[in-house]
Amino acid sequence: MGSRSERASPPLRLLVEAGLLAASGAAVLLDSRGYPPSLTEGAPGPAFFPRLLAVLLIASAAWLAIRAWRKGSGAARSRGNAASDSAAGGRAGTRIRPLGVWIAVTWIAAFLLVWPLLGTVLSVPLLVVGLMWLTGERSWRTLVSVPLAFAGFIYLVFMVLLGVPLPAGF
Amino acid sequence: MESQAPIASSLRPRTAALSRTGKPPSQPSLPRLLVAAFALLASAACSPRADDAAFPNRPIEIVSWATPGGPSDLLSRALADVAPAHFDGQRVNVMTRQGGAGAAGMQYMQGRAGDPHVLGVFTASGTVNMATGRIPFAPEDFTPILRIQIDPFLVAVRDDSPFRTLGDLFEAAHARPGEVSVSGFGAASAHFLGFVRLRAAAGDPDIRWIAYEGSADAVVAALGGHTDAAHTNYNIVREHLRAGTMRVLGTAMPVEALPDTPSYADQGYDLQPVHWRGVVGPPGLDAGTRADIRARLMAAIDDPGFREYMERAALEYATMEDAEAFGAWMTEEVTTSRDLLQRLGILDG
Amino acid sequence: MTAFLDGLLTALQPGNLAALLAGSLLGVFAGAMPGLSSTVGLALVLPVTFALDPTPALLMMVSIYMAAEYGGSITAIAIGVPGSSPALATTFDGYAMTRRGEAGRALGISLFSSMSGGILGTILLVLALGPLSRAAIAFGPAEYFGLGVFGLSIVANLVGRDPLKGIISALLGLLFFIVGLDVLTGAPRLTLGTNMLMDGLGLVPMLIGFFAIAEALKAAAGGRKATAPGGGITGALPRARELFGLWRTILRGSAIGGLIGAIPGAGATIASIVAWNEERRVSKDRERFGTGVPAGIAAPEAANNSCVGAAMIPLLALGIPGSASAAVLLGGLTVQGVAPGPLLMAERAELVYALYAGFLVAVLLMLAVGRLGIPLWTRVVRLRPSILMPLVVAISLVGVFALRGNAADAWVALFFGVVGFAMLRAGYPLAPAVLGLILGPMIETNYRRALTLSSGSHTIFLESPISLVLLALAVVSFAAPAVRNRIISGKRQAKEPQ
Repeated sequence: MGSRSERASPPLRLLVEAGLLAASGAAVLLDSRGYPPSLTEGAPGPAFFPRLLAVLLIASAAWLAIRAWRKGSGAARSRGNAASDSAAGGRAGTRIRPLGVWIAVTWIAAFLLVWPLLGTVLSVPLLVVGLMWLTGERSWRTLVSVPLAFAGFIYLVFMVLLGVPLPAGF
Repeated sequence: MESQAPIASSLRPRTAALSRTGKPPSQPSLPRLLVAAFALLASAACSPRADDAAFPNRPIEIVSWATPGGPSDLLSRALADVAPAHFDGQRVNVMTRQGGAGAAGMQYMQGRAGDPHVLGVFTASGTVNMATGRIPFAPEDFTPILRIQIDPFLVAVRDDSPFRTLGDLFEAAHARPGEVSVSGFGAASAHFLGFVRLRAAAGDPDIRWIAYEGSADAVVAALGGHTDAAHTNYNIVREHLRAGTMRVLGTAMPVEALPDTPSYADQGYDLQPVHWRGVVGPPGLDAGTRADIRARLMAAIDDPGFREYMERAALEYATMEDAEAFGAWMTEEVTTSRDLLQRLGILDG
Repeated sequence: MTAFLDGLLTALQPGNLAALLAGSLLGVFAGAMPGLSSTVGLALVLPVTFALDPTPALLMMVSIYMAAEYGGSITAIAIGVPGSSPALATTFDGYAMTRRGEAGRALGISLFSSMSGGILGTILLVLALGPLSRAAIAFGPAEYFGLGVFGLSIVANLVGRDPLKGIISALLGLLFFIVGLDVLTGAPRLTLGTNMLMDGLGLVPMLIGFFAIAEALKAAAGGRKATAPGGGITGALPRARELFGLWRTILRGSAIGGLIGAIPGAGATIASIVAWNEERRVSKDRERFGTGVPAGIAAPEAANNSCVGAAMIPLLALGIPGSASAAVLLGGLTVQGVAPGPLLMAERAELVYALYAGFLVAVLLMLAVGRLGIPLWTRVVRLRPSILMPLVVAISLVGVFALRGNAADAWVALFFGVVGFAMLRAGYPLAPAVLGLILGPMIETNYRRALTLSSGSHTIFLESPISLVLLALAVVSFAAPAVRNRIISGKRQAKEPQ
């Protein structure tokens, strides 16, 4: 999703964004058709709230699209907003490498797949070393020592000391 | 850790619950091959029955898919506490596997088919979830071992309630349809079905079932006067009964601690809905192993420590004559729950 | 008073003190690890407590509970990932302060406020057990609905500069809550046909996805130029003057935590967000909240620790667990043969007083453990992002797995990581979505429950004075920022996009 936004010109990017949101709302409406009615007459059933939210989401998406249409410069402003987002400490707007993001997501997903097979002690260092490389670590000494030390920490603290049942592998 | 010679178990995808699809890994990894080779060698050296004879030859896992600290989780932990002495001193670990209304833990047990070292605490909620299809398994997917306890349902009201008997409650509901409410745990849950059965015996008045996330929340609602009564279990309201802040209108079965409270049957409602909990094994345990585990568990639940837990939690022993009877009970519960839910229109026919 | 002193003496016996210390260490650790929480910490020691006498068992559990609430703020402040959900509001100002280089100051403020909140919550517990327990059960479906809507109105202050995007974020959060089984009918909703989503998308996977994984993806996107949190991180602690100058904030935060914490099911996460928001509302430099204001750390931290004492109110007086952690505590007590309820005070007074005293000792131990940890944590902050971010992601995924032993939760965390990254890139604030997920159940379920009771009549929300007041407050709170913006933009004709 992050990379998709890169090539498009600002208003188009916002339109795609609005389209995605509206599609999510539509999917919720579609899903809610299968919900059973309320067990009590007069009281709203399980479909009421999701439908309300979906309609509001579609309306918001429409507003977003209209706004984007009306002033093409809207995108620039929305980028500025990310920086002001206090909660996430977001700092959007810098140039990004979409490929790096996709590789990182794939790497984490691959970790989740092999975790049960290889076990925690073997797979966690692989995850760490890959993410370190992707976030720019290039010192060989660090790339080797940190994942190993971390695996030891996880093993000792989580598995031995606390007895958390993490996947042990094969 | 477990390299002794568990040939069968080491080859099995023990962690199927973790791989998203639950499918066994198609490509054997190098370590897996090594372990397999080692196990083969080991098994060649030992007698063919070594695996069974050696049980238990490594720590026992009790899989817990219930809320931490809740009654089922506590049963798992109380068992784990007394069991080692009865499993040849092996460690007994409670392994939390929550998710999917219990399905995650059950999936995990499926991945350990035939391994007697993994047990799980199964409850009436499990059979109801099987009936609704929320859990994609059937009792046949497990090896029933021992039903341990029952936790009878009861109907409780706040001390200042005008209702004295179940009859009062249902009469009021008949007189004022839709205005009398009862709070309890869940919708299409074991608690709900227990109450629905009682309501049906009372001529199906329009009495509102107010579903809550937990039994304690349902009792709060009755205590706060938001609902007229709570349908729950004895141990949840026990302290309020002792303190006189709540009263019981009727219990599903005679409760020893409540000699003066008439049961449903005493009040003319001929049914005994109970909540129960027991131990099941993974699928594919042979009769001999099952009998062995059952005997060990029987001894464990007779341990003074376990008896103390039962007494403190106000639970009653309810073992069945044999494991087959327990299995038949589970299967029957799934069927009757499904029928009832279909009659209520909650499940499609 | 003598009873209390006896309790204090009991809590200070060597065995009990050791239990308290062990609990504090484990609590700070469990709180600080993203994914682990006080609930997990308690569940982990549950088997250990079986072997202990009731008093040390109880003391160990309360010290875990108490220390974990501070522990959560450590990671919130140091790396911007709430170690447990009640520390969510602490990330707003705490992490901002760290990025300015003042990690030690932020941690010190958090620790001092946590301690004060813990003590004030305990005092509240001792003095107001009876009345507050009665007030707690006055909360029925209509009142919870009011509280939920009031909580959601805080979104108005979290939307950032583009209200539309903030509202969309909140709607997405509410929709994320829908996933799972409907409490009132048991019907699966938005589960995509998989039973692994039936328990819903958890708050912890969401927090980890939004705050740990999304940040790591950002770092990966930036290549070698991963943003370092400033060069000169100092471990310098705040001055005593500054800490004591926060007393009004701490009192307000503790009061909010004490009141909301006593209501079963409301909990520390909601209390701390409300406390942050109220502090912002009464503050003179409202606009600077979220940029690293001391009061923005003190208020939520005082609130979530004061919740610990308050959560004991329904537990001790009514035998009703007010939070997931209290439920584990209740389980532990049951096994010990201690039955909380209306008679507990009369029958086991010595235990209850030992518990009160234990809370106070636990708070002091938390202070000691926390203080000793600050240099360590400021060192962690100084790690290169290319080392820190991968470790944060790994420990988060391990933690989220350990929480329920469910690998699906780790996948959900990754999903939220991707969603969170995309939302950040497109300029959507994340906090409203988190608030939506937290408050969705309280709002929807209780709305429908209330209407089931009233056979569809909405007057039920107006008949209850509590719900009426809360709904009125919600309207005010929701409208206030917009009205204020109107006035401001009316004064100097620019800036705000309507």
